[in-house]
Amino acid sequence: MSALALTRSCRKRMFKMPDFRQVFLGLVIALALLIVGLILYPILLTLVSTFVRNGALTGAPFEEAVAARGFSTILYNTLIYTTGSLFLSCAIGIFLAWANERTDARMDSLAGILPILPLMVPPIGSALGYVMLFANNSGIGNITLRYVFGIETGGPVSILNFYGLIAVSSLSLAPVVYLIVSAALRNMDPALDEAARVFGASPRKTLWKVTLPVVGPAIASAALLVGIHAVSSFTFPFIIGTGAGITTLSVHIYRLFAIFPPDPDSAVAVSLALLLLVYLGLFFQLRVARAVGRAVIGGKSSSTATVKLGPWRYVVRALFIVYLGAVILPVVGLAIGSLQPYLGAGPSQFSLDNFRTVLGNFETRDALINSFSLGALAATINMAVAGILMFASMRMLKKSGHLIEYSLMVPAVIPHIVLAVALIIAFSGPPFYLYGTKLLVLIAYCVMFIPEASRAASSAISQASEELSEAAHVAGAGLFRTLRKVVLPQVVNGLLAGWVIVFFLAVNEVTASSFLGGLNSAVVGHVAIDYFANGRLSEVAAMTLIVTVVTAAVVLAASGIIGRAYASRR
Amino acid sequence: MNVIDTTLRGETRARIQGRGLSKKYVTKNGITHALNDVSIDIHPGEMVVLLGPSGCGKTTLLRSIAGLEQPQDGEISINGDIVYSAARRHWVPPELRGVSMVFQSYALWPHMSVIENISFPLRSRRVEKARAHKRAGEVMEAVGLSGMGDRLPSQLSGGQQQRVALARAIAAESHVVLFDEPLSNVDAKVRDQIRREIVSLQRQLGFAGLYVTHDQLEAGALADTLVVMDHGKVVQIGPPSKVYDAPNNRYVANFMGPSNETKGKVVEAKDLVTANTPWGVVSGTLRSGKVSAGDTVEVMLRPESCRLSREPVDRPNAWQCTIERQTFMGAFVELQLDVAGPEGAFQLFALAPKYSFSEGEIAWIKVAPQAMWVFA
Repeated sequence: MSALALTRSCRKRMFKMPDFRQVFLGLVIALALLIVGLILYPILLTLVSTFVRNGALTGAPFEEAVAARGFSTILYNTLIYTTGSLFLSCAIGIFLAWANERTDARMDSLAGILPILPLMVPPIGSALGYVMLFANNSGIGNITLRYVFGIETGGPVSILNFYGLIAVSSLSLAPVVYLIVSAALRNMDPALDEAARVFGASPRKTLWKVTLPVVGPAIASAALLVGIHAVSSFTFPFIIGTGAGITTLSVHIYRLFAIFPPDPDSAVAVSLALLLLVYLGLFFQLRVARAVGRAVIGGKSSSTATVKLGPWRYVVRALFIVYLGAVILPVVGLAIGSLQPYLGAGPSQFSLDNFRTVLGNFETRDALINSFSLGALAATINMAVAGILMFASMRMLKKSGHLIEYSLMVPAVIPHIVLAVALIIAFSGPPFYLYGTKLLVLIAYCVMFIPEASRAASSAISQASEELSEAAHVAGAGLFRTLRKVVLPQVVNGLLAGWVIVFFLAVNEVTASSFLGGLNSAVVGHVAIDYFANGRLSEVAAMTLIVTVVTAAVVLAASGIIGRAYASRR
Repeated sequence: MNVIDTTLRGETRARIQGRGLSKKYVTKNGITHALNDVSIDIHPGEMVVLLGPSGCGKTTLLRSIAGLEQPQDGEISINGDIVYSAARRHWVPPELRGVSMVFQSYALWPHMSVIENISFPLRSRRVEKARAHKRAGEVMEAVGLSGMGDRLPSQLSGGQQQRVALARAIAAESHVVLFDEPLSNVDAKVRDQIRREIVSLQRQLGFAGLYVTHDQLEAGALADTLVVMDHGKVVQIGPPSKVYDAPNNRYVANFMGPSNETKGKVVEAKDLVTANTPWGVVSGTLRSGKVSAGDTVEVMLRPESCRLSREPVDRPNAWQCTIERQTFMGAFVELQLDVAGPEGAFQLFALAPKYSFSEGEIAWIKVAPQAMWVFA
């Protein structure tokens, strides 16, 4: 093209082309408003319909909820469960992080596996697997132990109590702590530890006086995050707590809907209490998270200071293996449980009947098909929405785009059980009548997991070079051409990783599914809870195993790209 | 602040003694020697500076003495106590070596106040709190940090952080202070200031210092003894002026400062070496190895060794030249000279006072045979 022709072409486009940027931004804002509406509308409507009676504000639902029999026990249980899980998961997570980042027991493979571990075994698989293994009398693990050691009485291990509930939950929560603390240790200047040693502190004193205090803000932040997870956790308290007679707030909310007649007003009141607890935690979490940034004084890290454990390092490595084993173990429990006709049956009675039932029975078959298709749909919608909104806010709106980024993060701080309650109350009645439809389940998945999708999209976009886009613009490419030819190829892996994460979370979702699923919208989470409540454990095991294996296979196949995307989430 | 006993200063026994230290890494490209049979002595009141490019092993040597790394062979003693011996399989952890150290990244503990940072070495050696804080206060005053005891390190400027690191290192009154490139993160003005303070603190306290740097100007300004390292080996030890003016080999000569270089063949080797080079026949001093007629040698010449005059000068080592270009260097100018040699024109760099010549002018160069270095 001659210089003159180039100028002419530019001029033509300058005057004739409509401004696609404006159109695109308009679209973005409409989309953002829709998402914000989907998040805020149910919550506000729920609050109004519960606490406004006859046009006046009322605290009656609160009084009724608190007056309910056993409410103080429920609060007490929630407190014990939350603090117990918080301390145990922090102990495990901090130990793993310290041992793997600062000692010669380090195993590189562990650093690769741990971040994606929560994506390998879902909470429902973990909880159910442990029940299958260690239910007092009928658990296959207990039966084996009794047989091997010739024990006559029940046990010897019991999972159906507070200790078991806290231990199993903590195994799942520990990687959250590990991720945050190990990142803090990696960012910490190793010279801080070295200086302590040179100036006379023993390795033990260095750990307590320097290493731990320096990463202290990160530890506090992780602890509060885990506390928020625990206080709003539903799957573990429901699966393990039911047999142990332990009811937490989230299980109580579920029961208020499951009883006949349902008591939505009390459920909302309890949800609000739960929400307040979470915000209390969040308030402190944000305060210490701000301190995390301040705590690390930059320095060139020469080499990682290692603590020489000597022969102890084999003990520490053995503990690594024990931890990994404890996380994988429930899958074995699920596998065995799925072969039994009833819990406690011997090997002679093992068969594939449960799988035949699960795949033959229309309810369970529908649940599997629905969960996988709704999961895939939610993942696709969320990554498309999050990709477009995050790109627009990070690259085009910049500062004013923060509002979009924040609003996409809002569902992360609303317990799923509360979100489910709000969705049911807002969309069941007129004018939507969505109760029991797949659309409502899809909306729930999309709203719940938009924060995960946004995090993945934001990390993908921030890793893509902005200069490459600018170069494309200077070379004459318009917005859409640049997006398609330059931006998309750079972010496609990150978006794919986000897709896998959302797919996994949606397929394994239990909390909201148990509320929103119905006859016409059977999903795995709903059927699992339903069957579990009716004692059909073997079928639940078979169904959960199928889901766990399929989702784990998807995660494993994409583990290379997920590792990076998942590790960057905080 | 207590000044060290003069008898101790005169004591000949080394504070730090390293013998036959070796450490190698196996990498993709073969074996890398971080330390290759290194021996070193540091006496009371002496400042020894380890100089070399990155990867020459200087930091490994310093960290081995601190106890932060372990060599694979050799022996280290501090204050006469053996802290590492490969032969006896003996290794003392850093906290029991009683040395102090100033880190490149300062390594100030962010969760401790300035006074807590400075008194930490005393506290961890069981000095009671009141005394440790009193001592920290004295040291803070000495390095110009009065009144900052309650601040956190993050509330200080880079230069102040460096002073805290320095104060922490001297607060424990250790006989040995190690410096790991402490000035590479502060800006030029603060660097000169703190460098002078380090010298005066050492004079006052008399500790044995080991200082690692890759900056030859900083090294020259600080060192009583300069140790030049290359690929894990000590290539020259001596006072800075000696190392600069009489380098053992081409590597040291190059590292210590800019120079003009060429190659030539020896014509005659007596007290002075006469060699035939592209610059013509030169007469120089042999600085390393042995040569005889016919050998190939390297010839080097520092820019400041070129004496320029407007009058013709006598051979040997005399040339006529044109001032091609002047580069302003502050106190003096660097001259790029176009020299007419027997095998065609060549270029030399020289230093001269400002305003002594103008570009395009004709001048004569004379180089003393002592300044014309010949390396085998």
